[in-house]
Amino acid sequence: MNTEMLIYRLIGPFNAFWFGLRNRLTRVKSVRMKQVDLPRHGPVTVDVVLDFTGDSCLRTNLLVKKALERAHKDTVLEIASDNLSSVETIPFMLANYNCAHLVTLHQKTCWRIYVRKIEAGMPEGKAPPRRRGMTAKQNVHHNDKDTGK
Amino acid sequence: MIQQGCDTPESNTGNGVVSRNVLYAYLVLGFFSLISLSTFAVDQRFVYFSAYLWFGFIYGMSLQYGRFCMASAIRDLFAVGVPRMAVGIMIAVVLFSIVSAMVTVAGKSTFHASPIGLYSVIGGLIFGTGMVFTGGCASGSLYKTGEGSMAALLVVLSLSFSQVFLVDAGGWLNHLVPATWTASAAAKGLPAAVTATDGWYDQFLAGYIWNLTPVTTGELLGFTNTLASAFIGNSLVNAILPAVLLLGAIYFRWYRKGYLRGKEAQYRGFATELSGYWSMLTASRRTAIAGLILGVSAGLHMWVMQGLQNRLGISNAGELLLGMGHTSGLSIQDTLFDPGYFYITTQEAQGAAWIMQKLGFNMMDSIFFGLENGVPNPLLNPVLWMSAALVGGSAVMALLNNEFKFKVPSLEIATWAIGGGILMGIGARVGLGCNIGAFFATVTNGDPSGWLFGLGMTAGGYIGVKFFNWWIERRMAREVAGLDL
Repeated sequence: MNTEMLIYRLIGPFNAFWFGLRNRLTRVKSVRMKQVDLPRHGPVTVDVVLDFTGDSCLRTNLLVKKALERAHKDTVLEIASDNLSSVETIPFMLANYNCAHLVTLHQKTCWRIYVRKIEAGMPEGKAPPRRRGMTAKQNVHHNDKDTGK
Repeated sequence: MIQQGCDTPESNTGNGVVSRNVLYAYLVLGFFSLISLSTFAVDQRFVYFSAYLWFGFIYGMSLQYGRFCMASAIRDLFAVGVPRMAVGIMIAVVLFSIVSAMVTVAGKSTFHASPIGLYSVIGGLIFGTGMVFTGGCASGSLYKTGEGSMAALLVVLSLSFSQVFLVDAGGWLNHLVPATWTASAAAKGLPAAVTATDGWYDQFLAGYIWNLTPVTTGELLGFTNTLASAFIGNSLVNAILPAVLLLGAIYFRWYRKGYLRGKEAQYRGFATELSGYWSMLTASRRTAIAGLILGVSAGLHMWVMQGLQNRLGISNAGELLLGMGHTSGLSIQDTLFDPGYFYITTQEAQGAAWIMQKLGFNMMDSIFFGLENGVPNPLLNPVLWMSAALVGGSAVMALLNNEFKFKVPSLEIATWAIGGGILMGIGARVGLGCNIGAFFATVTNGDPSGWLFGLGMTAGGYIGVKFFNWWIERRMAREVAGLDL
């Protein structure tokens, strides 16, 4: 058992007292054929909807980062958030993950950020995302699949 | 067409909602105007309180407009590699330092340097860790409260009460006090009413902090001329050069690679690098504008407060209250907390201490409240007027931009907010201030202790991000892994 697992098992029982931590906030869903009409882009098919309304900025940013890392080429993501800090930060993250910002729509209760993955994987010089439970070697193979090699 | 960077959100809301929000914004503005005018009508000396109020209002509007948050600055660098906010803060630091130097030369500065010591790093470390957990620094939590975030309000409350508990805690915490602190505190000959040798924080102040020497960089460099000390020592050496170097480090570590991608053919050496540096500074227009307004208004704030003190013939707001016949809540020295510049945490602690006093606890037996800052009625606490107006200013800006949303936190967010807020409160008291009082206002006024607090805060932010990332990996992995991306 590695150190991380040991720590996790040690604090695990305290979750019962840490009453709030059992709630799962983020509603993430993969959708197909959801059509949206985006200004200056026309009809666009959204592949993934990430709904972070009510979530904190750090968690929103970290989960968006993970989703961007894992997205295939040409995937369109719709990221919904009511956290202004995240809404401002996310467009600046995109270049680091080979993604393009299509548009941000301000709606009544949240903002919807539309993003397209331009190329699979990460820009040159950036480490490929490590899949949970994978070794570095397995991870490289997984990313090769993304690029069709 | 694919756009890069963040454009202005396109409003998709009905005109009815917008006009209702504008009405609410005017109501908030009217409320603060009414307070200002009615108190002025009662006693003209309340203009001193109103000065704090309107600067707080400007701070709130600027912070909200730029989504200005120290937690975001540190967190976004380490978590997602976005330097937007760190750049905005450095812009504000440079401008505030220049205006502060002018104010100092004009003899209108209200700033007092903090002692230099390891406590700044430790306080910053605890504060920085807490602010990443909460998702907002001390000023960030206030302006987010104005946006309607109840999680941010929980941060403000837990930050306030945790300061009070630390200041008042004695008992077993006395066993953690080094004997040298106790002896040193006892030797100060303080009034018996403040029980200087009982309580960890009292002995920390009287036995440790007071033995350290406060100094500005201008003094350290031996400048005897005020102009040279303010502009070269305090502004250039202590604020501008470190800010420019930090921005350079941020550029090379987080921005340069992305900027140069695809520009290999047009690379012209230093000119391209300089262009990239400028591109980083102007990447987020609203953050840069907010930094500019904050920097200038924070400097002007000191000038106005000192001017009012001269005009009213006072050196502390306590004298005003005494003159008006309000003696309750003043310190033993008949003073109040009255920094004369942008500050966040101490007035919030005073507000919490006032509630604790009403519940029957004695807060005036501590050095922090009893000897130095007092525990006035919140309605008669000028610096707390600034905090309240900061929330109001933020609410007005959010309403005008249709960004106000009343948000009740989930239990998870609330737990992080309270836990992180407690750490922030402890860090703020150990570090003698928060991201504003112990960093922003200090580094810009030539006080090198601010950089020590900033160093600790950055390290704490890094620890917080790593912990949070680890936590999310475990809790959310299934959710993200389940996506068919």
